[in-house]
Amino acid sequence: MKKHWLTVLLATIAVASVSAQQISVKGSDTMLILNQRWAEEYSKVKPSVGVAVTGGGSSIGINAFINGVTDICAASRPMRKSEVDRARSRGSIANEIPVAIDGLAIVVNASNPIRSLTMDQVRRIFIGEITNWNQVGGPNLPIVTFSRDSNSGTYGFFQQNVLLNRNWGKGVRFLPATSEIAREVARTPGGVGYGGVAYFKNKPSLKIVPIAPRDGVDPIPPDEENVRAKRYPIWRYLYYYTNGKPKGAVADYINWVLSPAGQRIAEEVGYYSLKPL
Amino acid sequence: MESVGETVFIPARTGRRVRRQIIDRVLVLALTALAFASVATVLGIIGFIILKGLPAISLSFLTSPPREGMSAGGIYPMIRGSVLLMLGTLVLVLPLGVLGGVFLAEYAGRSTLSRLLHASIASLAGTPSVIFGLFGLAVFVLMMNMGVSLLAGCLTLALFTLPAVVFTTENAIRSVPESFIEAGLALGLSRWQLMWKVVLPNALPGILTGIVLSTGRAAGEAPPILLTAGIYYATGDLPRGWDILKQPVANLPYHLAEGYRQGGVIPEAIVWGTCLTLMLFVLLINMWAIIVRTRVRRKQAW
Amino acid sequence: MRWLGRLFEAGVYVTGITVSLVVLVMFYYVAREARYAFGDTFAWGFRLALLPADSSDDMSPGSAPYTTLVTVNAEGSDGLDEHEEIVPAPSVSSVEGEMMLTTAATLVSDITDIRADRLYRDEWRALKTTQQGDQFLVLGYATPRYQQKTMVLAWEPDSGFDPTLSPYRLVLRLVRAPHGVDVQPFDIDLKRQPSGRITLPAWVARTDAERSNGYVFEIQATPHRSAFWATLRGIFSTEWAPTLMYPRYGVLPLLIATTLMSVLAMLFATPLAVATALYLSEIAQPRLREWLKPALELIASVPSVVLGYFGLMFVAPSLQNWLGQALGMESGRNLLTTSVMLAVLAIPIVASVTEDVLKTVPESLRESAMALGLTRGEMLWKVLLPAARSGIMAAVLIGAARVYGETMIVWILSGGTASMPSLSSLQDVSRVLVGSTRGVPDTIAIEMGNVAFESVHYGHLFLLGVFLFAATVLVNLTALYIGRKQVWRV
Repeated sequence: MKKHWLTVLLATIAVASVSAQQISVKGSDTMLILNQRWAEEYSKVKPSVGVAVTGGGSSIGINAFINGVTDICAASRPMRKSEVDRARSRGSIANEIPVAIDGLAIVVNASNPIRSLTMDQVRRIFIGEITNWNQVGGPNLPIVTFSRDSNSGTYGFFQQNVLLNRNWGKGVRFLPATSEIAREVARTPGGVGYGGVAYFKNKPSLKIVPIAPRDGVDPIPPDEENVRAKRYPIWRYLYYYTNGKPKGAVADYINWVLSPAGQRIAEEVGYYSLKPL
Repeated sequence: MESVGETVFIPARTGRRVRRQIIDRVLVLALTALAFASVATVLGIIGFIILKGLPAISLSFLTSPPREGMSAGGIYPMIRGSVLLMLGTLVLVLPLGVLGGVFLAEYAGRSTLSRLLHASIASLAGTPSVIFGLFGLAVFVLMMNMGVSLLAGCLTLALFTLPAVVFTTENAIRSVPESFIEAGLALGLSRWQLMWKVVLPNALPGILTGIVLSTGRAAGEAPPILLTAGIYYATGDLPRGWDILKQPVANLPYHLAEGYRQGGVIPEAIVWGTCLTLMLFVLLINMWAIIVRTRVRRKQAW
Repeated sequence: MRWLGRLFEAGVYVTGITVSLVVLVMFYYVAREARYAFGDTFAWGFRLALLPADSSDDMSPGSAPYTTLVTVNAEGSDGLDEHEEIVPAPSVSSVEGEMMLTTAATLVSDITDIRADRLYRDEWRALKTTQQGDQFLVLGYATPRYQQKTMVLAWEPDSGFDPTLSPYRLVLRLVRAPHGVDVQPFDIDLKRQPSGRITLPAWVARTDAERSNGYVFEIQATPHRSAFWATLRGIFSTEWAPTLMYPRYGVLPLLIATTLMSVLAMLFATPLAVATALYLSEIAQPRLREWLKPALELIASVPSVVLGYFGLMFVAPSLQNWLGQALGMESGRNLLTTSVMLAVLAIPIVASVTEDVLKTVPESLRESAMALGLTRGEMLWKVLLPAARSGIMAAVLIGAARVYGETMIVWILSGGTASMPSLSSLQDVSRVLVGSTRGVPDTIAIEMGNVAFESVHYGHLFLLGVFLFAATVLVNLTALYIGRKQVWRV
């Protein structure tokens, strides 16, 4: 009995497997949801091509790319020179394709009267030099800082580009997801956090704070034009890497990702499209 | 042991006896209460998960892939991946574990060496699952260049289940009655014929249920496959034939771990449904094995 | 047929011995990957600045506008090559504002090669291995508008850099005073005095060409300790921050946190588990026992990731509601919640093994105790428990080993902050109890996804694995030894 059952199961699996083409996308955790949505929508456009999406982190993806075991490497940071060299020595030529723009918003509780912050103030808040909102022109209220935890690429990006490689302040709370940051900041009157704009938009208990790139410059809100024009200071590209110029099914897939249909999905997920739609 | 001597002397004063009996009652009652508290806690957890997960589970939930950015649809690919991982693990661990168990039970003897071997396998049994994940990553995925794949995952899980399989095999073989073996010897069977024709067939039910039990536990473990076999999402179908071994597969524990890491993308109802499915997956396998075990024991009734 | 038998027996021997060696092979490979932790490049960095003589004490080289940062090997989580920007030193006329002093680094190490048109400021990086020493020459001068008689040379380690952990001997010295300036040469050990200031006579560069005639300071790094010892010293330090520009790989906070939560979990679990086992083996009716024992075994097989979710969705908010105010709990994700869920994981394991142990206590012992007129409670407490003591201890140790290596529950519930717990006062203890924490196994699982393979960070994660592996094997072997019976994963 048992044996028959196993045979039937194995046979079903074998017969059900008919797809010829499979594109593998591996890498960034930041881009995991975006990659998943693209894969899902693409299967509606072109059912004959399968797309397999794995997370794990940008480095996992880059490493897979170097070893030639993934078609597309998704990365939320550009490849390092040493990585490009290592890939070349194993016969992979890194071809960098930006696929979306990510703008990180600074968010506070809606009850906080603060109007704007400068980059320097944001940095000093997160490294623990500024601990009360009255130090930046707000009410007398202790600042409670929220960050993503260290497994996220966003954490690393923020640390390098906003904190300028300084260490986080002692009181920073590390949460596993941006949605959790949104929830905590909404609950905490003195709270401040960061993350993709989409998580904070249209939430009555949250307020996105415009950021001045330098002291004495007008603060800029992280809206579409400002991020795309690189006026807003906290942004980055999200990349796909392929081995040389993409060919065949991979090229079709990437072309679709860069087409208005694909870029619209990037907007839905909470990133900005490369060009205005 | 030494306290036995101290408690021998018991003065027979009535007041004291009553007090002793009251203390006794209280103690027994307390033990009963504590025992039921702990069993109730854990049963409560299972009940809670069933309660939360049941509304999400339906036939289509179990048989359709996720849709709309994981916010709808089912978890079929994850179930399929878990089944594949378990089957692969079974196939790999079976020969290794059974032969290892036979060795320990019949060939290793009772020497210091055998005790060392036991200690070594017991250490493996107590090794945290995340260490198996590290080993699988370093050796199967990177060194042997298998990449993150079903094969690497099955190999890692096979190592993870190996000690349990070895020990259950050993126990099953040891519990084959001496009289069977003597009868075999009287018939002039050689040692390996005895093994092959008498001991193994009689120990088989015990061995099989043991293996199923331990692979069941492995199927619920996330850390070993986190770095060796997991995948978040895939469209299209699995490749045919042996190529399937080179593909990473979505599976239930990975889905829960990655779902947690992504936070809030997968709606709570689906998470609970996945939790329940994974729990039932493991519990049903175990239940089946336990029932088979008791039934076989009754039938054999040595 | 005979050869088939031989084959079978050969197979049994080979497999048997292989299987027994698996644990050694695993240990070897995990330990082997840990070799990457012992790299030979170490980051160090100092900031140097000239400040006006009347500047206040809270003006530091970090906040001065014209400061020189000298860093070696400082990668951060980004690449070295991404930040290789070389900023030319400002010309004399372009230095504005109140700060009319500046330092400038040169890209040469020989004092005779200094040229005024090759002066750089800020962000000065190089990649060197430990065996090599480094020498950096930094020029100092004031611009013509500077009026004061003296100026101050200030230095400090770059933020995040701890000189005491460095394998280098780090020295700041004055190698050349400008012509006609009378000043005592100095030679400062930067490990003893990581930051400080020295007053020097002011020296003004009138033209850009004159800049190269100013003060020449030197920061020198000479190999002092071996890379191995520096790594080892770093491992046993108290900060785990692997993604920083000057990464810290101190495993102590993680090891202590894991130990704390395991001990706490076993404190919760042991009485419950032993009581359950006593009840099952001594008090329960046989029919009830027949049901309860398999139920217990079933429970032991609930996947830990499911337990973690249960803890997150039910236990964490409940604890926060009941005890949040009283204990000052900011979030349900903390050490206490983690320990509670770990205890839930441990109870069935410990109970099941303890029950097996109690069964092996000879019936005669119970009978003679009863014959002596002991009540059942006394028999359990004074006879059975002492008789089974070592077995129960073994059961608890097995449970502890399982809890010590548990990944998913800790990952989901611990909160994820790696910090050195302080237990010096009762208040501290309660803060640790309700504070966010992070253990060894979850750190491995979380961070392995984001490390560059075969990097130093990757090596340290494997090193954590080695510690975890060794600890659990040790605990298990102890259990095996004191239990003197075969015990294994339930």
